[in-house]
Amino acid sequence: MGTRIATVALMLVALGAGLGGQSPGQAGQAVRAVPAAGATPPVAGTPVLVTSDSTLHLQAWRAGAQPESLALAWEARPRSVDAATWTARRAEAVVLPRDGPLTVADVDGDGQNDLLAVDGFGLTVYGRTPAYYRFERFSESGAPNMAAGDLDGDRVAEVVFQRRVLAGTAVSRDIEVVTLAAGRLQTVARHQLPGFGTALAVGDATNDGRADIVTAGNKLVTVLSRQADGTLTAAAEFANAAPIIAPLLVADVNRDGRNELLVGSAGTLTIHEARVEAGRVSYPVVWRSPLLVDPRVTGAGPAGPTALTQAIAVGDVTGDRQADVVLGVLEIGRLDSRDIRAPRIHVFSFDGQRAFTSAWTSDPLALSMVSAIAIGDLDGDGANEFVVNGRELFRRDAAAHTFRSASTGCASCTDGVIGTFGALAEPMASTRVVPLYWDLQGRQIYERQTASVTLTLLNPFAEAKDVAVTVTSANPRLAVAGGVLRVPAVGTGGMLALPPFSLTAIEGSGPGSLQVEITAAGGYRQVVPVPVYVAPALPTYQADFAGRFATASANAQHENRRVLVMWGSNAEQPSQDLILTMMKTPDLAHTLQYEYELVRAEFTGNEAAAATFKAAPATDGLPYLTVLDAHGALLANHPAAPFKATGTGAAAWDGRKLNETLAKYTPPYVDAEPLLTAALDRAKRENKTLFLWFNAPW
Amino acid sequence: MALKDIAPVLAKDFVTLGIDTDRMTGGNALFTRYSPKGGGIPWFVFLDGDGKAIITSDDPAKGNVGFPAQDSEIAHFTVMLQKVRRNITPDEIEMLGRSLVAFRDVKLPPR
Repeated sequence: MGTRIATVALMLVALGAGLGGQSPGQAGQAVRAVPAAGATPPVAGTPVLVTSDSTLHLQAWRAGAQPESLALAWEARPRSVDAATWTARRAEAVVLPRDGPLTVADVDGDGQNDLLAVDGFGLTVYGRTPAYYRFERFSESGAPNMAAGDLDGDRVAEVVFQRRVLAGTAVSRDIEVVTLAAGRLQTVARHQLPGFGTALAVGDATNDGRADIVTAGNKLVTVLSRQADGTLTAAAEFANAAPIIAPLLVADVNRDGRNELLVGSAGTLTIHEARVEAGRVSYPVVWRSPLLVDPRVTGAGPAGPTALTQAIAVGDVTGDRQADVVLGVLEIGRLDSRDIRAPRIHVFSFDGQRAFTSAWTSDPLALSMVSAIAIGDLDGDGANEFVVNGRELFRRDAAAHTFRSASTGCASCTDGVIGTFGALAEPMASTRVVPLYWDLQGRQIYERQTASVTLTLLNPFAEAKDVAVTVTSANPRLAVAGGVLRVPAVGTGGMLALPPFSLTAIEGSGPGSLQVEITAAGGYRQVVPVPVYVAPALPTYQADFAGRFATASANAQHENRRVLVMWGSNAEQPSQDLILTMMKTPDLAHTLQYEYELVRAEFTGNEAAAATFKAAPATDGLPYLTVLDAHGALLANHPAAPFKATGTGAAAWDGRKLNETLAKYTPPYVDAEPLLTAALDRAKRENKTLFLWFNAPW
Repeated sequence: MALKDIAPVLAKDFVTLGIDTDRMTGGNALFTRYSPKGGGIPWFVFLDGDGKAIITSDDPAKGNVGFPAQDSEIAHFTVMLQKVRRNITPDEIEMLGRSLVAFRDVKLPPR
């Protein structure tokens, strides 16, 4: 078995009381005081933009002294958990907690907005009555979905969380309602629904004066209303056209005094109107957007482009006093021979009747996604601006019928909300400790694979000296070599890549796990278990060519595909790397999935079979590719050498170039209409019913 | 549908045709014609000889059942079969429903 070298980035993030200082969880030791910050409110009654960089760093911005400028008005300390939580749960803190979307709501009933920030540990409420709510379990998968609104009509907002629950292979979602009472956040209702929750919103979707919970599980939208006894019941449920729904919004988009339900999905938006008949609420579609993709964008293969609606906001941004819908849509495909993966912003204006018309579409933004759109009048000029991801502020240029964008000042932000707050006091002042967090990327290794693993130390608070990191295997699935790593110091705010160590995955059953111990001068010591997923071994080149080729040919005839024979060797690294290239290059993997039946053949022992196809691996080297049509006719032989690249592993071969070559042999697609006509004729002739189904290769 | 116990039963009442919406010319247009509101695939419809839809995989309560796997989805599939059957017997419809349950339970570990 050849040894594969891969780079797996492990990021160890030590946010904390300082690696060079006290260990935050050790009993009897003093907790390092965190300087007070952020207890003063921003300008009371003035709209501010609160931004998050997704790593617990919150800032509030108000209109600056200069026109169209923003000034920092408030900054919160990096959020954490209380000391008791940390002491009890430090072993769970194995990932970097990420902020979920920020929310603005009055949860303490003082008539002023509070700022709600959530991560995998809990909810932090910044306001006149600051509060912290610790979740029962730390969520390694990140923050739960969160939304807030007055569910019971008492003018105090409840906070709603939606979490994914896995039980075996069953996926469900847990809806939890939390309210602030007597200065304490507590659960007041729970409800479980089947399916993975893809979106959550809170708003008066039934137009009864009280907010409802709207949740989507893939294509199914459920409206939950809170009853007098506190329980949640489904007021309505309907299926959306697209298979994945995200996001949702409840808003009055046509200014008729009644809320509509906005459902974003795969590059489209549908607006549903709540109708009550015989005591039942239904949500017929009253408007549907076109597919929000630049018509010039094509799919990476024969399939069309991919589009994901990622954020929705409603407000008047065009100045016509009608509601506008602002959408962020990620487009994935090809444009002018280039791969594109970029979002655009779409503004739709209500026509005063029943429809929305496109008012503006942005050029592709230099963002990986649109995670948040906030609308508000930050500069007090009577016209709303909107802010994307807390990062880009868009102002209307009425004369030019466009929107101009400018940076908010937070280039790393991923979220932003606009609100007016009376106070933004923080909970947990002097007793705060900040635990050690971990972020681990690429936590997967294949059986029989040896990877060169790089671990990065991030230390934002205080210089750490004499740092030693010891990585050991916690069970037989993993073997570690060179796992003792030392650095003399990591400066404040520093990030340091440690020397790589070697990780080998062993065949067997059970999960893989590492144990990472970090020590530093001053008595700092922390031990954290790190799960590592050991994936089944990579596909190998098979000796029994004849049987596999026959199966592939039969499948190719049935599915109108080509057959690709990869001649290779399990004993040679280049052959192994080509398998990785084919798996890890998205366009190439797509072409293979759509257009090819793949046969990986061990060349040794199958020399005669290769010769029948005039394949010449013996002279041109391995790996080697033979392309055939579904009936076994040779289309091409390709030595792999022209596709060689300079990297290792999946990067050892030029997947893009290989894809361009293999895509040329895509078979002509069959015309569906004549097939249908023939099938209908036959059904009629034989007095049968036509069972017509629609599918796709994915 | 190609399994040896299943195919002969379906062949008693059905001509079958699969359309690849991504890899057939006009496949997506055909899908839109029969499922104008769009939506997910797999999606299927039983057509009479004139091409008129008799019943689709859209469960009125739950939406498209896709490949029927959950109990409610299999229930809708059997409703579809009951609506169009001519030669397939009720016992055979029950067998087809059971086969879907068995397929699901083999594919997925027990819950």
